[in-house]
Amino acid sequence: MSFIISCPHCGDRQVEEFQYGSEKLPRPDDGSSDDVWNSYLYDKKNEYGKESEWWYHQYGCRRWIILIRDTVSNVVESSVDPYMEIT
Amino acid sequence: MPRNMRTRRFPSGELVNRLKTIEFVFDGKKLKAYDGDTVGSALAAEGIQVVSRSFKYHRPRGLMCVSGQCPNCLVNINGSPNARACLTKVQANMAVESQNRWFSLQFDILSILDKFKWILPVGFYYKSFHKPKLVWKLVRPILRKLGGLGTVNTKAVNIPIKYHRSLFTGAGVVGAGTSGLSAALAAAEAGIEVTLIDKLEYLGGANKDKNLNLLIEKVLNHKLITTLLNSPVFGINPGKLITIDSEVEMIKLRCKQIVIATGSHEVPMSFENNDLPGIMLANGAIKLLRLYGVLPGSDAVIFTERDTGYVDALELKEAGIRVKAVVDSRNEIDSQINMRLAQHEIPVFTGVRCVKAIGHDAVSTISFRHQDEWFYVDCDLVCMSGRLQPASQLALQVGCATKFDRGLNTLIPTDPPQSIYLTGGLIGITDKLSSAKHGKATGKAAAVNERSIPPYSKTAVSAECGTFEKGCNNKEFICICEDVTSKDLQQAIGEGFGDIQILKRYSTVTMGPCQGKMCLSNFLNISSEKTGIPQSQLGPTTQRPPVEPTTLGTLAGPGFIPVKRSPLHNKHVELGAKMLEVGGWMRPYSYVHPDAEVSSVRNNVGIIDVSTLGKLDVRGPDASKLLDFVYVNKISNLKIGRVRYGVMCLENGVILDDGTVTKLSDHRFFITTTTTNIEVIESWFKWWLASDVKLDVKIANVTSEFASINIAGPNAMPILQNLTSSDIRSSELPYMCAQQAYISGIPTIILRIGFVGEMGWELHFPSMYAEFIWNSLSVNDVQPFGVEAQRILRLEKGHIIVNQDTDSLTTPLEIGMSQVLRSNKLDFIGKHAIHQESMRGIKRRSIGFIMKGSAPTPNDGCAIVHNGLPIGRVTSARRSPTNQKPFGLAILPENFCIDGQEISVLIKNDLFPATVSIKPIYDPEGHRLKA
Repeated sequence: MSFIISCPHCGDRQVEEFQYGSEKLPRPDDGSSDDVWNSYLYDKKNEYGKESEWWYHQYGCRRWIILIRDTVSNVVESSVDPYMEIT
Repeated sequence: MPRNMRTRRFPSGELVNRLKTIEFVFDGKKLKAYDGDTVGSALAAEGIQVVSRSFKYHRPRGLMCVSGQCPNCLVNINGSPNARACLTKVQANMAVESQNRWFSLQFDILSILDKFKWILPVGFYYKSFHKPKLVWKLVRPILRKLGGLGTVNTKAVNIPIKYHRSLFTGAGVVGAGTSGLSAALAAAEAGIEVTLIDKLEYLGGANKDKNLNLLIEKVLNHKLITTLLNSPVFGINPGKLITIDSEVEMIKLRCKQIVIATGSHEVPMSFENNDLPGIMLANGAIKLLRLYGVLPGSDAVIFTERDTGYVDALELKEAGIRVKAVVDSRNEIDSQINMRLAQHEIPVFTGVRCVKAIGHDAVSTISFRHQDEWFYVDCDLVCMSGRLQPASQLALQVGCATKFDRGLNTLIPTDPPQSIYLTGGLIGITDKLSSAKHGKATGKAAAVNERSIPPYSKTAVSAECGTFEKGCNNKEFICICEDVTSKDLQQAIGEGFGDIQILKRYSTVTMGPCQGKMCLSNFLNISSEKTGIPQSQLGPTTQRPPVEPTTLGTLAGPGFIPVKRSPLHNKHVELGAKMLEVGGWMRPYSYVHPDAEVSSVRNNVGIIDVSTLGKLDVRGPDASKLLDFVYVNKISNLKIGRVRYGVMCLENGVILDDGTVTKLSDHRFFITTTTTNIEVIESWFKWWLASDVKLDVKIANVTSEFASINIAGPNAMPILQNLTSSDIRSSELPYMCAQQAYISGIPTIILRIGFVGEMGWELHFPSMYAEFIWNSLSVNDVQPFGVEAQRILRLEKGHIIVNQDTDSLTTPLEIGMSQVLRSNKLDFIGKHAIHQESMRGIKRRSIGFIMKGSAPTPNDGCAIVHNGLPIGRVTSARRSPTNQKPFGLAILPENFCIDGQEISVLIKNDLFPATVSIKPIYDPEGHRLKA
């Protein structure tokens, strides 16, 4: 596996600089049922195709970004810093 | 006969320096070489023709390709097996040994196998020696011994590894032949950065001649071109990543565009005994002559399928070699060429279909049929000229399709994916002029990432070539790596292995060290002939990295992992500390004996460098909200100037890290984490912050900004008090409190905490003052103590170390933090899982134990056994310097966690009794700590 991720802060960088976080899933509310928590923790979608994911630019700006990545071809469609979205 | 052949040095030779001779050893014999010689060229100059023995039949083999592609020159160099003699430069006193022979290269007793071919037909390991079963068991180890290449030295020490380096470039050009040079120059002239890579040590490619000098000079002088020589590319990976096994390091070169100009190379022709020493690729022979000034033989015969054979003939003749015949498979040749050869008195035989070689240890005679008459010519050198195979491995790896090329009579790559370009001999261009032209056009197109390149026009030169007849002979080698003959292939096809992928696996053709470089086109050719399926439908075999032989040391080499040093590193070294790598940091293990250091801390005063602790500065109006959420402990009710021990969990309730949280002001917290985990914790905090962008918090990792020293012991107070005007007495700064003050005039955060179990202070201050503060504290008999003493001290207090005493399932409840259940916090990470566990009931716990009697100290991880079954394990254990009894922490089932419970610890196959001790063995009430 080797591909390029375009970091919104640092530009095109090798995937080795990044750390994969997880699929982007909403965290269940406090007091949700065991089933909801269980599925949040263990039932990953593992999408075949485009997926929204958290990545951390460990050896760069050290910020978390959200990628839309095709898990088949590793083509990164978009990358945003969640802070940029609100401003 | 070759024995009396006197191979000499020819006066020219670009790469050797005749003023400097070096000695090396080949199979115990001292030989001389010139500086710049390869092992191969030096052996050739000494007249040594047999360099190795073949894989299966132990036939004698000599230099053939002189370009690191054929398996014939594999030798053991300085203990490393399978080094290619023709590429390895001779160094003084180099120990070179031949391989796969018993007992010597000249008299290999195992060459008797050559006479027993009928026992070992193609695929014999699938069908012979299998009945009765016992036979295979007996035969297998013998066969394993007989076959094969070099032997790996399993006891090798100091195995060379290569560091990995990442580089970036605009256009990566693989191959520095005519087309590669032209492409690189054109791309650079169009203004993009170019990296030109070649496995040879010089620019110009395998067919380098003087006409290229001007182009090479231009390339070398161009500012935008970087050249990497001696650098075989062994793979092109997704994302346009070229992996290069350069001399000193492994390079991962990331490119925007890639131009593949790997060219084509000569391959052997198939005829009887085509593997005898003295039979070389014409290119190989010319290379010996041009680059190393070595005469490859004295009487030569040239086999050719193209006009190149005549050029080679003239070059050999000029060097003083008697060219006894040029044997051409084509019926007609250019009359001009014929005239030139006649001038040089070189006899030419055209329309020859059938040839064979005769010889014992090397070729001695060539016979061929010309116009129904057999001719016999004595010679010691046969040059096979003009049968070309494109070096298409890299092109196929990136996903190119293939098409049949009539000119080369083989498959060439085509239709490259986006941003990848093919040029030169690789796509069937055989003359240099067209190569240069096409290379230039490709370079221009690559510079602007333009897809279409004007197609090159085939000139008359690359017209169809003739071929020699392929027979069906058990001495006509198709695959010289694995000793597969044309007869073997015919037999395998007859047995039904017609598909190329299956035929390959069954016969092992193309599966040897050359990986098809010498045999793929011949293999396709012959399979197509025997099966009747056109080559374009047969398709090539799958090409996988590594394309070039790559050592495991290269692949396994580490990335760039710096070892971190504390700002006090030099001080520790100066004090004579034994240094140890802990969690990526160099830390002092001990200065004197750890037990003595323990005793100093317990009875007097000690200082330890804890700068390696992870440190975070968390600020903002929502800081306490974030910390409440991330820690399982409640942080929001912490008062300014107070310290709290905090534990962080993953969402599944497992402990991630622990440390202290100090509230410095309304909106500012100072956090410490464990040494190893800081990177993880920084990203962990930032992740939850990024998940809730409305939180107004800023986080800074200040690990290296602050140096930290812990001073502890009953006599520590006056020493520290002397250095500050702030009152640090317990009445003013009690246990678990913090203060910002000046120590020796340096602004410091003072935490009154005690990991080691004595009255102590952790000082955090700007790291540039580290040595100054250390020196100020080192008065009288203050004892510096190291990591080992700290581990013993904390163990006596029963303080856990995350990841040492916890594992990937340990929850806060298992380390006795049941107060988190009572907390009235709204939500925090891991809350659901922790409450779930509490409802199910805790199954195990981290608990202290003391060994009974005169038991040895258990190692970390020793099993705790009950009724013959393991029920838990020791997580930390040491011998107590106070009472000399081994004690420690263990993970045990809940029902064993009773004070005084008898348990048995398994130490090296013997059981030793111990008792559970809930209270720490030192200062259980914490009087000394809180004093």
